[in-house]
Amino acid sequence: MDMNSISLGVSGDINKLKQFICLHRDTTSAYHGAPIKHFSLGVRPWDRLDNSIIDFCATADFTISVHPVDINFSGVIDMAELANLKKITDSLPVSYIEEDIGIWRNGNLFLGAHQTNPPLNKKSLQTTILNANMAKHFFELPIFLENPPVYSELGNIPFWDFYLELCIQSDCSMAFDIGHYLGYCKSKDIAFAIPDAKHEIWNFIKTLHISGIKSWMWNGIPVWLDQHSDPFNIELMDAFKPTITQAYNTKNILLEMEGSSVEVERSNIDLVKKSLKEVSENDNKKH
Amino acid sequence: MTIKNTDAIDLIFTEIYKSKNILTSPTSACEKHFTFECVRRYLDISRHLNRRWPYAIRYLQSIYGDDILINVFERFDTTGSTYKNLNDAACGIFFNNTAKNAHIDVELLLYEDFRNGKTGSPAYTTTQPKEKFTLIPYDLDSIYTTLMFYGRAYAPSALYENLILEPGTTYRVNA
Repeated sequence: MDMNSISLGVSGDINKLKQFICLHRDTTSAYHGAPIKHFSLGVRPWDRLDNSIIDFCATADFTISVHPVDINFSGVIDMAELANLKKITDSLPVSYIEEDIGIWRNGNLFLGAHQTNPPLNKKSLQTTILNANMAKHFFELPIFLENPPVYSELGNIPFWDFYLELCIQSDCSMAFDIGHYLGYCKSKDIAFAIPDAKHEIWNFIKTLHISGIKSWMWNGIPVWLDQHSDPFNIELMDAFKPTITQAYNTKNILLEMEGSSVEVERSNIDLVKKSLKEVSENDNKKH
Repeated sequence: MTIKNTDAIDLIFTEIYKSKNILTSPTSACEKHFTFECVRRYLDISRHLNRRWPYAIRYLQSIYGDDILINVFERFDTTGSTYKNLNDAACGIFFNNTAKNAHIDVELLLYEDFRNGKTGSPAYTTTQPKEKFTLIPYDLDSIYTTLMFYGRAYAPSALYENLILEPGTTYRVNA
């Protein structure tokens, strides 16, 4: 695959977007040298964007996706809040919406770190398919369904079978989060393994997400925590390289680094660029 | 763990907040992973509480035991749904539970908010205010100073249990 066709992206809330707008053209910024050509905007239903931001984004030299954290793709969706989110997505040149499946809200409560992954079974699959189809038509935008962080998974459908069926039946794409999948593998006590190049899922994976994780042993089992502020570690980068090799339909790699220092951001961007270069060189040698 | 692999997500969500999952020892790897998920959430709730009331919590935990935290965890999937975020939910449920205890307990939480300058918390004074007030028959400044003195040194529970709450006169100003 052509590594030059893949753009790097960063994510954050409205304040981070404002910062990004100021920094991405600054020649001393880590974003400029990368270059970072995509921004994934985290929005809540009640967020409002300044006109200056809307105007800037209308002619921005980077692409924009929106990552809400309030859509219960595997549960009950609040249509009033969805309508509020649509007001935001309608005001920006959004390429797609990306959201972790599972549940983000319990009534009024935003679950955040208590976001709950769906059990990979028929019930979850049917609910998520129905909701994804509805959201796709409601927003009139492509939906990229993301595999959420998993600490325990109790369903009976294998991971890749579940996501392939979900993408086919909903006609949505997949945002594949490498760290979250590493977590899933740990929860199942299996080694990190991705499908071979012929697997149909790669056709649906349009973006790769990568973010810091903390891994350790606890009471005899491997456990982890999703820590976006942490530097990308060896385990993560070792998972990233084979993934990017297979992900032929991926348009961007999203570096989720909320809360990390400028030094960590710079180091993470360098690590990903270095890995992309290595993969590209290996690919060239093969051909 | 009584979950079947065909169960719906809402049933699993409810099961996660059952304290038996963190109080009993899991045997299989699958149960251990589920326990970790429960423990992770329990600790997150505990972290929110300890961050807001670092010294009052240690006192209350020594007097009433771990149940004061477990009760918050147990109600998180139901009562929690009325709050907007995890911090509000953890602190709100804890505060309302504490309000059912001795009057001084909830006063210590409010006083710690006041000492930390938390926005919206009531003011306290030792001189009788002109506004409406509630008389607290304790020397809250001395009690709180002791709790800080103990808390910073991770004092053993026995010290808290044997603590005589200093009587005195403190006024909570009711805005």
